[in-house]
Amino acid sequence: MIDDISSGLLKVHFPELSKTLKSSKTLLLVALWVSAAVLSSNAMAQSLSKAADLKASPAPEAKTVKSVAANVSVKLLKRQGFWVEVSADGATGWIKLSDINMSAASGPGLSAVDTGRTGKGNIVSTSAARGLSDKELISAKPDAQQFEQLRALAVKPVDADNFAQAAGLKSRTVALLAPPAAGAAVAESGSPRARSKAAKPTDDDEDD
Amino acid sequence: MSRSNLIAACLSIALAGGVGAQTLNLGANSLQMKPESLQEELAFGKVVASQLLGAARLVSNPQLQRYVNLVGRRVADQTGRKDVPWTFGVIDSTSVNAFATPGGYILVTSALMQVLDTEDELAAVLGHEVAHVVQKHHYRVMRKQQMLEFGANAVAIGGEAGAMADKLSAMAANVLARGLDRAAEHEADRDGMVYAARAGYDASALIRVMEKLSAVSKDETGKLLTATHPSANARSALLARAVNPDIEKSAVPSPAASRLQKQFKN
Repeated sequence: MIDDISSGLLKVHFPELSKTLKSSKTLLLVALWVSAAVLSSNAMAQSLSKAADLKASPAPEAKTVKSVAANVSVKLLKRQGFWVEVSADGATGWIKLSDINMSAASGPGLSAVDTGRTGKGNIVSTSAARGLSDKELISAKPDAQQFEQLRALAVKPVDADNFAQAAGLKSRTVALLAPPAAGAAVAESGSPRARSKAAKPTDDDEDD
Repeated sequence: MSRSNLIAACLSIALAGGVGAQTLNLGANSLQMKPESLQEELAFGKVVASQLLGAARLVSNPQLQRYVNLVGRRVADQTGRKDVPWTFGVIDSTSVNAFATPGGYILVTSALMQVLDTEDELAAVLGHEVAHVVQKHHYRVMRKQQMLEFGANAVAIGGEAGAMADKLSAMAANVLARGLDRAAEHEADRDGMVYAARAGYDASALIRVMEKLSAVSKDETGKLLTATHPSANARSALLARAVNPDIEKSAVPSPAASRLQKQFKN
């Protein structure tokens, strides 16, 4: 049963791979090979999805430091919001995150960006130290008592409002985003469709 | 897993893309589905959440549970859904993951909480899960699967009697183990980012979460998440291309960012 499901997953995500895999031993070998490829590619530089201007600061109106062609390799230095500082062609500047060819299977993508701390500090002492795999989800017995405990945790909207205000969180009016146009190299042209018309945080949220 | 269940599971993968349809076309036959209802959605949510909680229990830290509920509720209140009892919980597990169930029950693992550094990042994660509920992603997959497995008997489910309840639990586990289709995940990324921004949080915190998930994807703790989601890099790439000047203005650390650190990471 478990094997059925995991091979199903494999077929969904890696159709060509699943055909060639006959045993879990092969699977392990392939897994090792894949992780080695990821490690070695981390040393490689990233490429741009299209020609871009390096900006002096992370803003569209900032001064252009240098124009970089699409095939020039760039080194990611740091990210701020939806901008990334890169070095390319001996210059350093900011480009939009969408200018980086992150979907390239060979590139390290954003894991190459050093953005400081990750997950330090002990937030919860984990007593069980158990993982949560498909196997464990399927073999688990439903726990009705835990569900009742969960239900009791819900808070009132007014409490959430007060909690937000206490930290100085300000509500914003932001429209839902249209999906980007298909095809990797397509620029963000054209106006977002129907979904982003309504800027109100109410009634536009369901596509029924 | 019986052969027919397996076939049903495979079919539901193929069907998951067409969420929202009220009729299933199975060759020449088509089955009319009963209309969606909050009652059914909550019943499904109870089954899925109970299954998850059977695999990983709630962390016994009332302050943390309340904190996650306050952040989650703040984000959920930016959506159009006021009908579900938005409820959030941290479950004890070394796997980095978060789960949305029909009806607004959302669970985050302690390992994911460990990876998050700011309230902005937590809001980004919860925004994504909230979006799954708003779009009824899991609810609709379960409805279709229920119809395929039980056909006309499906009406009897919801009231959870004996064998039917067991079958529904098994179905819930399968949905959790298999995940949704990619389009649904990307949609939840976009919508969740907007909900977090509306709540006053840093819209780009979801990109930061992706950077962290990208690192986790290579090891055991990220196994199920990696198997059930598009790659973190692909998710970031699509988000980067979806953003507009409106949401870019929200890409600044919020005044609440340090609250997670201050209150729970000493």
